[in-house]
Amino acid sequence: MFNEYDIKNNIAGIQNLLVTESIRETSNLQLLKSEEAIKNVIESYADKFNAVGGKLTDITKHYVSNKEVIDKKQFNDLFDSLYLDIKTLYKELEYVDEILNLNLGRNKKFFGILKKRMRELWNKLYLTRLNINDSSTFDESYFESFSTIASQHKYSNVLIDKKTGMMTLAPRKTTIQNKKYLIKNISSKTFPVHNVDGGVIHTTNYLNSFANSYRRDGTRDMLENGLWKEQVLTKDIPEIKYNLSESDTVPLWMNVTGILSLVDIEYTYPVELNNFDIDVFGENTTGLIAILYKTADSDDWIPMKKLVEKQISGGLDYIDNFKSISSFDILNVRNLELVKAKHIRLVFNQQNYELLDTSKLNIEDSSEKINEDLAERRYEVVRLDGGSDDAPAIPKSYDNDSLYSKITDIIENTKSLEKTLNDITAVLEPVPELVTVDFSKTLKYEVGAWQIEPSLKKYQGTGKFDSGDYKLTDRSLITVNLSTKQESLNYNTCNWYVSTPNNDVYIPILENNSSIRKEPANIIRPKYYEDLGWRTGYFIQLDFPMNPTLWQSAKIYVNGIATPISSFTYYIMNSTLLYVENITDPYKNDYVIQYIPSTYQSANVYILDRIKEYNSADTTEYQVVAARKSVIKTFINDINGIDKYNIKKSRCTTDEYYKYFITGKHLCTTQSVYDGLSSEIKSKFSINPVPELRSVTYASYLGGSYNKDLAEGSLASAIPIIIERDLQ
Amino acid sequence: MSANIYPNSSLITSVYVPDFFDPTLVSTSDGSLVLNTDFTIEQDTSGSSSIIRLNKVPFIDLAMYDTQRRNWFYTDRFGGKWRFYRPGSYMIETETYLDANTRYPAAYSMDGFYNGEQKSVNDLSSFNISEYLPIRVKVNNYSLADITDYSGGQNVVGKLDNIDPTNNKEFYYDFKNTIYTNQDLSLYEAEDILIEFYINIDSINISCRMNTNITNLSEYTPSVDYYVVKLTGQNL
Repeated sequence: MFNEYDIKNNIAGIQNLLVTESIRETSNLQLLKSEEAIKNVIESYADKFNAVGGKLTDITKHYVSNKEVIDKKQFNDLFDSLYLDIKTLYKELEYVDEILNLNLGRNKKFFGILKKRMRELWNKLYLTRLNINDSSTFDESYFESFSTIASQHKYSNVLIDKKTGMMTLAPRKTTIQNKKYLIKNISSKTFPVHNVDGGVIHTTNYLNSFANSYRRDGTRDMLENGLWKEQVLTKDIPEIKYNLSESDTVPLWMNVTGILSLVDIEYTYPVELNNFDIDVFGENTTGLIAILYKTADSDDWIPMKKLVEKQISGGLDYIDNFKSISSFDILNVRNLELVKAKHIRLVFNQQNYELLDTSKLNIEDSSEKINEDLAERRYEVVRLDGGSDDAPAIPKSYDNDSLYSKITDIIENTKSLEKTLNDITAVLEPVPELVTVDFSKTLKYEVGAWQIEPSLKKYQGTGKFDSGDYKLTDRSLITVNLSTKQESLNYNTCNWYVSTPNNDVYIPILENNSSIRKEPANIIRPKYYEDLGWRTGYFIQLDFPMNPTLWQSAKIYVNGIATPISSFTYYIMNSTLLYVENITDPYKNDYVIQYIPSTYQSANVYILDRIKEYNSADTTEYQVVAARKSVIKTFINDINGIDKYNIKKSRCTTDEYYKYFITGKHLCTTQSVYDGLSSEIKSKFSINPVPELRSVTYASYLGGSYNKDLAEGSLASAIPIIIERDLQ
Repeated sequence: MSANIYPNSSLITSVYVPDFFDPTLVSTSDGSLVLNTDFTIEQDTSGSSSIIRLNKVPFIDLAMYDTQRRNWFYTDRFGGKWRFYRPGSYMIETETYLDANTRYPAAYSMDGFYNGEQKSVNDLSSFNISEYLPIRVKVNNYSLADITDYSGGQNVVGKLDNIDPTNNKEFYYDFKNTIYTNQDLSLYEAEDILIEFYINIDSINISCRMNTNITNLSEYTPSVDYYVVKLTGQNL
């Protein structure tokens, strides 16, 4: 009798026949055919279970004498065989699962590539639009979107995120707040709600829901690596008015068009957050219209705030509620006001829909649903620790065991073998929801995400980026113009420079024809001025000459707090050199200066920068400026004793230029330097001596005369001193 | 001296690049043309090795260029402004001209040591031509510096035939990559020939500096979505 029970004819045999043929032969892990293979396998399960009629064996075969007595050995063997069958089934599932996972991974990668290509095309379109709308002429333009490989660039302490196409300061600390151990629960709800009679049908697959992933024995990793997806069919475009806070005391009413999806994340304990990265699912642009949080369970929902730069006036950063953003690929939210959140509510809005036509009345048939689920469904890995036909393997990983646990649940909780097999079949084969819509106009909305990554980011203090070479061939390069799309907070700065290859000089440039410059204060203490009594405060060297008529609008940020320049005791030595008496400890505080450059009225000048030898008794400092580098070179050649020097470039206003180089003058220097020059030099060069700049405050201390023009806050137009900001 | 204000340099949102760096004269350590692979010498139609082909287009500073006359101002060693003429062939009229958008009488424009004076090409070796001379050829330490393309292009070559090559060494530059001389350069030793010009900057880099500026509040960052660099060259 035992011989009649042929193990090769039971489930394992059928599996070997179907699974082996359909997977091992058809796919043999050939990815290109995997979808077809899996489809065949899954369909075959249904056929297979139907074929056996839910019965693996005829129990009557084991009767010994009557229905009450069966052969113990045979019966035990039968169950050994059944056990083997089930374990074999698991093992085959592993093959299926491997392919499904590969398939999921491949699909995600494919979507990623598609998104990236779309972004690149979008960038190119954008560049074209910029060029078309730009009335200025140019010979060559280069576009850097930070979304493609740019290996010729050099950068440090900045992060070029090719996924989001953004350059930011590099995080020195990133804490991703979506790990499963942090999450207590996640749920989602989508409006309008499912209401067949009202023409609203939710066709979301349970496997794509947070509820499934974050159930007690679920994978609990959908935030990190899953596909959350909501699909809603409607008759009309929904108009929704919803109180996002769901509180009468602190209502947050929101009117939206399209569908509204709320994802609520509850942490096991409050976590710090200031950043979100959301990898959006779907063909259409998805909107993230609000982010709410609660610090404690009993609190009301509060909108997270975003720090926004405010132009010109206003002292502090302008803090506003997070504004709606939308994207077809990555939703990246930076610089949120840092909060400690126990609960997070992400509010998505999908306004775009697909209009289904009448030919798709029966919109979901079995194979279509299977195909779709194969592409998007989250399958879990069942891992077996080896094993063989004789010694069945045992699942060894319980991290990703929901499919396994589902099957064991069925086996353990179902007494009827037929029902067991049917239930297993139901688990293995996605159950299509057959939806027949009896009206021609149906709108399909989809919203979802491959990944949701809340995080806490803290950034490096300073980052630098140096591009690769941008070439202009066959012509002499004359001008460089820079347009950027950038964002910074009031106390953050993001400044641009132009440099030439093999040249260490950085030329400051104002991006986007901006009229305002905000730069870290380049605080110096030149000896020349210190000798003249300017020694209680510090000097700020500006990248650009300040507009002499608008310097009163300048502001100095001390540790992020903006203060009008009128609140300081300051003297404007020249258009690029500011003396601020109130700066007393520049090494303990952070200073940023914001000013309006003299954009259309500046000229280039060269300055003699003498390099003093260490411990040299000679402290003479030559304050010499010329319009041409060659003039300074000639001057140096004719003066003995200057063998270590640099000739540096600075800018001044045109008014200053004419003061330095009045008609016929080639050089400009201070009266004291002029007085010390030999008559031979004086006769050879046409030099314009200008008065010394002594401080009003310290005039009596020095016992000398001072320039009365140098009233506090006035522009003195002293000779520029060195100064190229050290950007290396 | 008038203000060195170029239309573009005063626009600091569009950086005028060439003026910012110090142009480097290109020459080998021993001044040998042969050793400098950036040049080749070609024969003209008469078979004379008189054409110098530059493999790189030199930088030309339009700020010192008189576009009306296609003529150059030179600056002397002290920054004085000069204009040269070739005796018997070209005289500069004493009329007003435009320089950096400012109108000056011609005599006044020659400010500096040689105010209003015009110098013959033959006097050129008596003082240093400043760095604003865009190109210079020296043969036996004799500077050939008339770079005016009087009528432009190949016509210049024919014109050279009428010039006494012994007493009037000259070259004409087409402002691109060709120099026409009235010298047969094959007659000179390589070390006697020196060509200097400004390197044409044909590429630049863009740099960005980001700062949080608040040491203890570093959870906020500037961000850059994209940038567009536009480069403009010049045409004569």
